[in-house]
Amino acid sequence: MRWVVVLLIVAAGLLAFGWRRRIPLAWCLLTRQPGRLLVALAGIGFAGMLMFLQLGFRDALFDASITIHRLFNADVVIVSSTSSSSISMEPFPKRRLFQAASWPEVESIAPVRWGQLVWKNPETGSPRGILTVGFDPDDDILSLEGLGEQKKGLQLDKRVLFDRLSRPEFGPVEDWFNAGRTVTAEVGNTQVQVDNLVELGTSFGADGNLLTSDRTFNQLQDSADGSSTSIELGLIRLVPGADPKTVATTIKNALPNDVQVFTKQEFLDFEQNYWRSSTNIGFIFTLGAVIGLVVGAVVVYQILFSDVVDHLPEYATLKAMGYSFTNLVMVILQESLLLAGFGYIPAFLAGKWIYRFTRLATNLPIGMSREMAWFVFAMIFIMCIISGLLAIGKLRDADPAEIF
Amino acid sequence: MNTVQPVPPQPLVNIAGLNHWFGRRDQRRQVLHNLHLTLNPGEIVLLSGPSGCGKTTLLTLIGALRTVQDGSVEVLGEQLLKARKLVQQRVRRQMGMIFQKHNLLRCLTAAQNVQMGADLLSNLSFGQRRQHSIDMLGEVGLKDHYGKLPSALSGGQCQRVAIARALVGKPRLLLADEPTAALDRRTGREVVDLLRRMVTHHHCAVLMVTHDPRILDVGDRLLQMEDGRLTTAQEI
Repeated sequence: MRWVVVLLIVAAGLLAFGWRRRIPLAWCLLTRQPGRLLVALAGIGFAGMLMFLQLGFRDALFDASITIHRLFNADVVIVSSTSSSSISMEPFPKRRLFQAASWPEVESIAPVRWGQLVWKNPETGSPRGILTVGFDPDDDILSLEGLGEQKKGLQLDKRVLFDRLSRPEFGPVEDWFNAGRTVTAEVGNTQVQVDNLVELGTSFGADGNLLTSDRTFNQLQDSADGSSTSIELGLIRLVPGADPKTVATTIKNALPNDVQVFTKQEFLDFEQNYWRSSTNIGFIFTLGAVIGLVVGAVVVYQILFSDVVDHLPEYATLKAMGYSFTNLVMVILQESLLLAGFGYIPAFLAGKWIYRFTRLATNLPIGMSREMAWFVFAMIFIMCIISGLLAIGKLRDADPAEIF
Repeated sequence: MNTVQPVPPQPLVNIAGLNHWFGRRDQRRQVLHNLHLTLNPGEIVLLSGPSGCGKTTLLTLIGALRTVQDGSVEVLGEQLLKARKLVQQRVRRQMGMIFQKHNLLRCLTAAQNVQMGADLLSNLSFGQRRQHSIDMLGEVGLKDHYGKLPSALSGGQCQRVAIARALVGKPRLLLADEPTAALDRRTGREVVDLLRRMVTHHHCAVLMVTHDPRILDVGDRLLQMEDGRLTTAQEI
């Protein structure tokens, strides 16, 4: 962020120098043609909006991918060595978790089932994958307000807690539940009853979420007695004062290679890195932002270039009067800075509106962070400066000898 | 008894053996031939001649707008033969220029246009420069128009603003290239009369290129130019 501040100080210096000591030529050149100025601001605003949109979606993807992960009450997490992300969790032997429990630093363990099951919309019957997390209701695995009471209902078989932030395609579950109706739906060919509603949130990998007991989870996966020797996640709580990194390394070295052992932060990074590195999604959104940058740069360049062409005789006159090439370059750069500053305002407002609209429509954790606001401002700033520098080339055509 | 001889004034422009070419290799064409010229303080010199004879080229060389290729061109004490850009810029800041077209910045008011000339004076504050500019507009009879854009002024008024802009920096030398060419007869006359008054008031030397026979009386000397050579010079 330091370089952004440096750029801003330089920009402020340029503007202050231009405005305090001399006629505000850059300002006058821009505002004399309001139509052209509006086109420029619209172009910059659109480019900025595109950057906000793409970068916001990208960050939302990364944030949403760890919505549930963040809630786990765990210091160390065990997953299968073949698991690469939450959308491809593979089972591993439950006994690995029990082996880990023998370490003196381990305070408690909690086995967790995790997988995409097929939910049928109770109203229309249309099937859709839903992320289902199964755990022992006696275990306190999630830091979720109210879950302590709600999960008691999971002691009964075939009861589930439905995420009320799930996509509407899963049916009017929340409305029915709040209306006092008994909501049942088919999950994995088995009828389940919604015992309560929780609030988790969707992600690119999960349109909806269900919490249930491990026993019900196993039943939904065709285990008649609800037992299973496999789990997808092993959560470990450590005694106070134990170093998760050291313990995770120790357990990892001791257990066979069929599991991976992470600290909680490593587990969050493991999930986010999948979306960043192993899919094209991060690249696509970044490319979208770059395209926004290029579009904006072309618009600003066109505006500044035509401005220089239109005023070539005047610029030549200024040179003839004794103004240096650097003086004129400063005018163009001041115009660039003014465009960046004023063009950012509509971009920011549009970005905020789009984030709000997207959050309401998709429940994705998308919002205007300070870092994002500064980053896009810096990008617009750089975009305008580059366009200004390109337009400066045309200034060389302002030959004072030609005006006589 | 000794008598004190008056010291002749140092010429503002001193040209000796000036040659200039345009083009390269086979296309190279000589446009100025062995010119000699001096211009003293307070003098108004008119330069006339047919189109393409080299008047404007001479003006641009004196105005440090082109690089002098051959010969000595000393302007305001600076030698311009193969002078660096910085020297040329320094010389330009010490002189005023008036063009055929006024070349005012369309986005600036009359006062702001004049102040663009005053802004090159580093020893004055912004407020002082602004006041100088408005005062100068008053001298050319446009005090009440200082807040108007060029589009709201007539051609003659714009040329007056251009004169104010050229003079606001108190230059010792003024170069003018057919300042009446774009004006009607009456307005042209008014402009040259104004120019005459202003340069007398500000003790400024003028080199003016003109085709207009009606304004020859404003000059002290008339130089005729033909095919890149100064042919005749006469006192007016």
